[in-house]
Amino acid sequence: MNHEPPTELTAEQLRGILELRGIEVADDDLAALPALATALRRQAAGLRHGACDHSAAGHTTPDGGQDG
Amino acid sequence: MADPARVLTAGVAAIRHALEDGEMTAADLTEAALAAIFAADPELHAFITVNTEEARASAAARDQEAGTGQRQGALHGVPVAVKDNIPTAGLRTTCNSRAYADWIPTTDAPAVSRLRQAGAIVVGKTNLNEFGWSVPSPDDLVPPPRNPWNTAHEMVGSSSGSAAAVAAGLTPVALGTDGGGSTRLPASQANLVGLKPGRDAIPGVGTPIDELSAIGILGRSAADVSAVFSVLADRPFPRWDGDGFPLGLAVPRRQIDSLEIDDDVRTAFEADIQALTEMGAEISEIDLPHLGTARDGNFVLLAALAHATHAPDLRLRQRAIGVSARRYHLAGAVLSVEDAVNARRIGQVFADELHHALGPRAGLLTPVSTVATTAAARRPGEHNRGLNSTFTSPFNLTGWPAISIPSRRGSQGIPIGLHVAARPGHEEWLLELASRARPWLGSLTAGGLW
Repeated sequence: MNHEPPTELTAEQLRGILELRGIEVADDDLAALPALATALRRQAAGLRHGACDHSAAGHTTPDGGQDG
Repeated sequence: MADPARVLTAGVAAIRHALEDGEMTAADLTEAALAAIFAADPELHAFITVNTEEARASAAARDQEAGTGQRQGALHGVPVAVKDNIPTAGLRTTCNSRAYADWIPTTDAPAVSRLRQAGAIVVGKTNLNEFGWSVPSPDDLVPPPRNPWNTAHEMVGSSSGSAAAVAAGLTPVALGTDGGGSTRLPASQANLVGLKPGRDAIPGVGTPIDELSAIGILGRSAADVSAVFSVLADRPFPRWDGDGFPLGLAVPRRQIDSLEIDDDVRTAFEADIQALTEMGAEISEIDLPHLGTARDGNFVLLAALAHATHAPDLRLRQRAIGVSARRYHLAGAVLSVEDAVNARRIGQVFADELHHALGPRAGLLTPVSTVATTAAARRPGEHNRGLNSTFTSPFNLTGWPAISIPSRRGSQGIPIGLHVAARPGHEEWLLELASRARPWLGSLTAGGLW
């Protein structure tokens, strides 16, 4: 089982996320959003791994932080 | 009688002397600034709103104070421009968005209030990428600024209007904001000093983005930026006597060598290192393995904060936001609290790494950007990951101060600056370094050219 959240979202998944926040989205924007959203989520996934790598290297973590 | 148009471009100290000596009035200087704006701005698009009548009234008030012997502030009569995402009481603040085209704040941002209290005259509000978080699009409120050094080029954002105004000599100094490099990047392209103060050194604009974004200062010299910083931070500028000025500097060599960097930028940077060495700096190489991760962390957190800030606009008046800003802000919805927490954690990790790697050294040298031109910065697939801000944005995440120092000129006529970052609280050291390094760096004439 993959424990990582997906980095790539479909247009309909994006519409659902936005609707949960009370934001409607037009079709023209929805067509363009997956590329932007995927780039962001890939960067965010990299941060998750970066934090884990850092913990494994034995560096300090923020107060109350728990990597991974 | 001094020529106000010439004094306007001679810097804050020259303005102060000319006013104190009675060679001209604040009204003369304000008229010179307004005339310069109206002459240049149809081509430059540096300003969104020109504050004509209020500026004239303010100048008259300053002249009246001077005539009655009242105490004059440190920026008495100095025309300043303010980026149009910084609230100004009674003066519309649009963020270059149709959604805010008619917003007139009732109070000044603290930085603007401090400028006015010091006697500065706000002559106008400068152009920006909509909300400071997008690339220009045809349905923004106004078109993007052009670079005075080569008007065939747009300026990288988002404080591009402020940089264009100062480089063109329309005002001696301007305020910007900087959430990932938005003051330092356009300053670099305009041969200006661009300071991003450290976190909380200057009060922000009052939005969630203040966590990463600082009020920036752009000027034609380190002295001018120092004069404004002293007012905004409300602290005196220290003096370093004799040989006591720290000149130990570090370069993250492995990261710079492994990145894709434009040839013009790489050539300028290596020449700057040589010049600073000849100046007497001791430059050593360090390793910063989390530099790229810190850039990503800043981009992710900025995207999350921008979404949070403008979520009400996305609900209520989404189509009044230009297409680029609208999509950038919508995309931030896919980030989670976990993502934001991880980004902040990386900021602490990178700050620790910087502290240890710098050791006794005072500052870190890098290029300002990986690219020399705005077109390169906006290449598809790169701008939306913040790649052009690899050297600037990590210091927004850590909250450390950093500066762009004028240096050289690239092959397309666009200036290329040098970036220096320092530990929290060391803004004055950065400004002093910029002042001392100026004679050693590059061959460009200091200041603007218009």
